[in-house]
Amino acid sequence: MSSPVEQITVVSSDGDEFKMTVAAAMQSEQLKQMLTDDSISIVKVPVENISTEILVKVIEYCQKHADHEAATKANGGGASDSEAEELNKWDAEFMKVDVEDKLFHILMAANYLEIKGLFDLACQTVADLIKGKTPKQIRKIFNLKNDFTPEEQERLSRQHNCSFD
Amino acid sequence: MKKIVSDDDVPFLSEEIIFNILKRLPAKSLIRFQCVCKHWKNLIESPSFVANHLHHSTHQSPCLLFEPYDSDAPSNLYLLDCEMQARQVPKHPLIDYLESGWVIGSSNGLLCVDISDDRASHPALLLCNPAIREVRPVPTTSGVITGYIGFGFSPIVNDYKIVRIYVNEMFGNVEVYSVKTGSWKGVEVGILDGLEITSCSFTANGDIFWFGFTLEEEEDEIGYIVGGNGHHVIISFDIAMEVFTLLPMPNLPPESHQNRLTTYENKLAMLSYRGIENSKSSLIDLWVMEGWSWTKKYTSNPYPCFLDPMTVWRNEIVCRISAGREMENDEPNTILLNLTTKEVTEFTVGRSHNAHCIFNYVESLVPVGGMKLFAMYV
Repeated sequence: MSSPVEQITVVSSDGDEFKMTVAAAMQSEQLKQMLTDDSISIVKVPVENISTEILVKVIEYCQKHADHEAATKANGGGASDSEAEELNKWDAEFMKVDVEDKLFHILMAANYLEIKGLFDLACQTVADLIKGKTPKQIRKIFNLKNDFTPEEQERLSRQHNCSFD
Repeated sequence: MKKIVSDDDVPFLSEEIIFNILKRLPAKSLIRFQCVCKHWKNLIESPSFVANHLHHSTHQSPCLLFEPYDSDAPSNLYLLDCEMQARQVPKHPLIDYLESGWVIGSSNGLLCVDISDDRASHPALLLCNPAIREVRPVPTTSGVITGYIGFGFSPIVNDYKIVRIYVNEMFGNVEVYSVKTGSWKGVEVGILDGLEITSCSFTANGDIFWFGFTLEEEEDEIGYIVGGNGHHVIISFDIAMEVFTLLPMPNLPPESHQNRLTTYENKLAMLSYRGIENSKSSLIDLWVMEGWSWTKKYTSNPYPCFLDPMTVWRNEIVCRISAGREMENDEPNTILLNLTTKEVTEFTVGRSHNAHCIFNYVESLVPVGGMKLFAMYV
């Protein structure tokens, strides 16, 4: 029987160690499963795919949302409209990253660790970002090749009245 | 879950992630992104993506469609999105020569438009998806071309159908068109026999509804009709089973008018307007059907003029103003009544004096099956 765990340590791909409260860790389905499995006694959890820079952001999200959940429970149930709005505002600010790349790395980290809220938030942020872009710009962002033949391009352009650029 | 593997700085994203991002995009962006690469084109066209995108749109960005009764641009509709932005949308995309047409109904982003005219020089009905600019004429049937028309989708049979009803005291004829089979067929009149239809259609949850009037006749010993006791009913057509049933009306107070069907929390609901004695103010009631009975769920605060309630949208009752007079240019023609706070929002769609028919609508990628069929009418 292991003694109750208060914190866990996660290790980034760069080798840096970070402590997370259990409440924060439970935001991740992956970490949650490890924590609730008595047969595993956790000391350190390596997250190979996630760099220090990204891991710091992810932990920040988890902690904020864990705190919000705790506060909601303490108030006896559903969050008030203003509290929910405040969290949404925090989320919006949180997603304002300086480099597009960081956004994708956060998205993949959220997917890997199975943090639903952060995953949906990141997907929505990317969607809002690419909404008005041209196919050419999309290819650049997602590192995709235009594999249509010239005839196919011609047909598609006519059909959808759009350009390939 | 794949590791980040890339020569450049841009990471590789899995299919699941791309799917999750793309399903949040508006139809217009997705049409454009079909040109990105073959993989994206196949993904966007796939039935599972179209269904997921529809589901996401329905819950996250439901819209309203405004059809002006008389306007300077009879072939255009106004689309109002969640950000309260209005833009014009063509009733029959790609077909310019049509002068007008009336929207019968909308399901999953598809519109059924009645373009019949006296000349009958072309099919009377069109199906279209304005978001992806696809149009498909509905073949004419050998039967009667007038009558009451309804349009809707049934997830049970995964098919869109059009119902055409022609009934009077002596004769009834019902035909159903299936988009899947591309053909019309006759259907039992059933309980519709002897009823009078008194409204346009409304579609929800796999059923099409009309208001109706039933005349219960009293006969004497010899069989002569000596009296009648008519009452209003709701006619329901099950799209999957192709069968009519009758639903009761709620116990409306006698001064209720402008009844209109809508949905509230996925249940059939009804909006009615009540005038206030000795004033020009009005109240709106919302009734909801639970099981076989109706409950009044909401009554608005009094509003200082006549309102015509049209539908429920995003926790608001959408009404148009029926001022009964020529409106000034800056007067609102549309009102939202919040179901929780009872707050009132006023705004104008199109021109102030436009009276509109207002539908719930969602932009989708659902295909209608192509424009090429129209070549012979050009």
